[in-house]
Amino acid sequence: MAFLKRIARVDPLVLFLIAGLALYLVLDAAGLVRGNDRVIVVDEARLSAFMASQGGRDPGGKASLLDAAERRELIAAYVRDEALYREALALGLDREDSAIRRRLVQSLRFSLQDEGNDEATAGKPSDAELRAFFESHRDRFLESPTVSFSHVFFDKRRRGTGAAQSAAREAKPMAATGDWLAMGDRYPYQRSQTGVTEATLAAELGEEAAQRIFALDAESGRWQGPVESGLGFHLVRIERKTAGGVPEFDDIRPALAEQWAREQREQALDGAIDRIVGEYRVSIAPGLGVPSK
Amino acid sequence: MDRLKGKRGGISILAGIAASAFAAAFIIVPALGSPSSDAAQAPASESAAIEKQPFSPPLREPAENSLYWGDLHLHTNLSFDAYMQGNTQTSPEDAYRFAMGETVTADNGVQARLRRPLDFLAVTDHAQSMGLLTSIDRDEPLLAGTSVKERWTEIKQLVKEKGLREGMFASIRKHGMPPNLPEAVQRNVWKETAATADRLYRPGKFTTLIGYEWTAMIDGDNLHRVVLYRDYADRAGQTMPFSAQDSNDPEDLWAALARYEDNGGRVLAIAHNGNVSNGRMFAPNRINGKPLDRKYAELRSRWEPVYEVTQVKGDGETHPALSPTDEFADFERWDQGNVAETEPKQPWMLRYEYARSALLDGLLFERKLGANPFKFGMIGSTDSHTGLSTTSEDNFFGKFLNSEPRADRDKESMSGAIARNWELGASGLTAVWAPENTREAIFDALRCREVYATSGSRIRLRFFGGWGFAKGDIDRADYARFAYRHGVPMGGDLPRSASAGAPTFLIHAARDPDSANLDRAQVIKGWIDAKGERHEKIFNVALSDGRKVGKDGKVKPVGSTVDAKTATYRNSIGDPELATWWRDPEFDPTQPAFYYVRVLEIPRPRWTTYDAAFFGRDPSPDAPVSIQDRAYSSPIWYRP
Repeated sequence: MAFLKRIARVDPLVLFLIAGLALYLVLDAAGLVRGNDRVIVVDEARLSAFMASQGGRDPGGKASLLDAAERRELIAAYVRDEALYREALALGLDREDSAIRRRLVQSLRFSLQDEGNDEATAGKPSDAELRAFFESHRDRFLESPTVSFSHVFFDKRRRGTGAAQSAAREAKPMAATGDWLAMGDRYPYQRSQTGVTEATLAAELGEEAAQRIFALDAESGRWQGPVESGLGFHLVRIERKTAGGVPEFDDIRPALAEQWAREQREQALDGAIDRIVGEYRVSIAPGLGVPSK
Repeated sequence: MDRLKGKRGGISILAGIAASAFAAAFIIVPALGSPSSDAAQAPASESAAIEKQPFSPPLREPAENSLYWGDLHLHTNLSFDAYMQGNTQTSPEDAYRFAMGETVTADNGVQARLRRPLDFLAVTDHAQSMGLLTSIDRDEPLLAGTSVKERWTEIKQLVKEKGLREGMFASIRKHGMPPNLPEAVQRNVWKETAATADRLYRPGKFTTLIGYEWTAMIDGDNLHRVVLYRDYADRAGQTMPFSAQDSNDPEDLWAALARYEDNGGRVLAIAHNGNVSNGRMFAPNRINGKPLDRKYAELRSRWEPVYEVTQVKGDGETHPALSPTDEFADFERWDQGNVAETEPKQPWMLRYEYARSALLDGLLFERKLGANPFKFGMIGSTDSHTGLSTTSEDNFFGKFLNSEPRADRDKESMSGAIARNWELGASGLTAVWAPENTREAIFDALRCREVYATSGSRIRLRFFGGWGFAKGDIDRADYARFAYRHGVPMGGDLPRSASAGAPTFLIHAARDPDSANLDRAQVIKGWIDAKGERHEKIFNVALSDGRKVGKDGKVKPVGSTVDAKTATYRNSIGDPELATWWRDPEFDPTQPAFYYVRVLEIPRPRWTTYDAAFFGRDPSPDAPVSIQDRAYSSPIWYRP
């Protein structure tokens, strides 16, 4: 009785709240409050997705293709997982788990990256942008010198040194107009070489010959020489020389565009992360000795 | 064989499972449920700082095809067995960068750089458990809450204490099979692997190919295949590799490849190491026990246009017991047993293990079934598990960490098994004739078999067949252009003959500019007579130093300039170039035949000899002092 009397003296509002709480707890225990939250819906789409998330199963598989017993088993497993998953969320287990934390951070990073990719591929760099990028990244493209050339070969072993040299000299005027592939002698290696360095060429022709070929005039596109090597004499047509150092803008356009795009993506990602971080006020404990901004 | 027999008693029944290391990791365990496996991606590998990005020169239209060198079978730290045995750091990116000529740190801490870069490389890690241990290392979040990390951390410790084989056993006995990666992680690893290949591709300069290894075994017998794509990550990276977990039957692999191609992709498979298949690689029966049929023959030659005939675990051209008159048949022989070293070799198995014999059986099958199951060209690769593709005797980086350069490496055993490290070969390379150095051009050359194998050095080799080549045609400056027009290159079929004559061939070999002179070029002919008997014969068609074939058919050996003590040789013997025209003097138009060319270098020190000189040790007592590196062309076939 004393208890009831004491209750009567309590503020009606407090009483009302306590009664409401009690009612809520009863209903909650009966599973009526959260309504749909307490229903686990099992359908074809969910089951198939669940199946796909299980290791060792064909991700293209459909739950409907399983026989009845397999399906029952799958449904039981799905329900069990789903219920435990929701309870774990309700208990806040996701908040203190470092693996889940990393996973969520990772997921968001990737989705931001994807957005960045879309942005970056949507816009193609203008000529000026690419050139500016090139100028500010020149050192990235530093290369050793290479030469691309074709040559007609006159074999010392087969003809003798003197005869090979004069044959090469005689053939020189014809090389430009005739079918150069059919001229001279069989050569042991490649007759058209692309982008070889001096070291590679030296292994084949000897160091002196390699130097001589690298010293030939690059601009003319005409047949030059004959250049003497350990093997014989070579009429050489330089197709292209890269002087080493930094190549021409036009030659590396595709690589530049690729790197420009990568940089755009990286910048987009950094920007997106900065924007998110910027929405937070950071309060650093004074004891850490790093002042808050 | 004796070694194996001697030790057999000590091998547990479980050896078949654990000996080949990764096998135990293949067992499926339920993955942890990942809400969206597609959205999941692996964490980006450390910032991948590319300081110097080489550019791509424009592609050219060459007149006579160019020769490109590469390796189509290489493992990195994504491979379970590589990682488990200490190759924990060398990643696919490192492997590609090393192959293109950059300096990379090997797992033994040595800074390594190739004298000459490769033109192409396929990183082909085992599909099973790909990236398992690297994912644990980088704390893959999707592994949280699974037993994967815990179990494998324990296994790593056990392996450290007891060695791979015993360590795996101990764990399996205690807990059962260890878990594999959840599928979401497997997908990430594969996507990233494919993306890495795309990122480092430099058309015209350096080609990367996306690939993996299907590591199938039956009772420890090797049926392994490398799978290579013509496609890029947007397609190849979306399809999970077909693993031996899915099936151990090559026919199932081909079915998976066909399903992939149905969606517009292009892919092929390359078998290797018939020498450790204990009679299964070129067996006359299918896995289901039925004899080969026409459909099998068509599918096999459709999906497997080339065979990896030489690599670190031995040479597979032929065997002394199969080719008793071939004085060069005993070369880098690796014939003790199967790959798991659970069963010793029996003589009957050899016929079904080696390339030359299989090419002969292919002719028989074609007569019987109307299709040739073993119509393959030849390639070589390393199958190295160090991430470093090295094939020269004087720069051999071994197969696993314990065979990376250091004194006494030759005396240890591979995988803690029977075969010892000195038996490893510094082999091999794939040579490709193609119009340009692109992924498409290299894949297409493999498909039409205009490729060849070497046991490590860059011997240049052209081989054409036709009906009307004249003796002087090989001396034309443009003989290659001429031969493409009037004949077929290696890998092709001789067209129907208009005349009654014998087929003619143009053969041109040049030594590796950085290596040894050439001893000889040989045509190896195989044919089937009217009674269905198999025949092979070796023709010495070009000899160095002015040597001639004697009346008894014998050739004086080229000799040797090898000095074992200093590990040196001189190019004072042999020829830098061998070129010849050849017509088959014994041609019978009713007999199906194949012809391929073998080119031999003069002897030079084997890698074990270089090691002994470099480290100042005694040479391995069992290893040969010198080696004659060689090239095997793809065959040219004649069908009546």
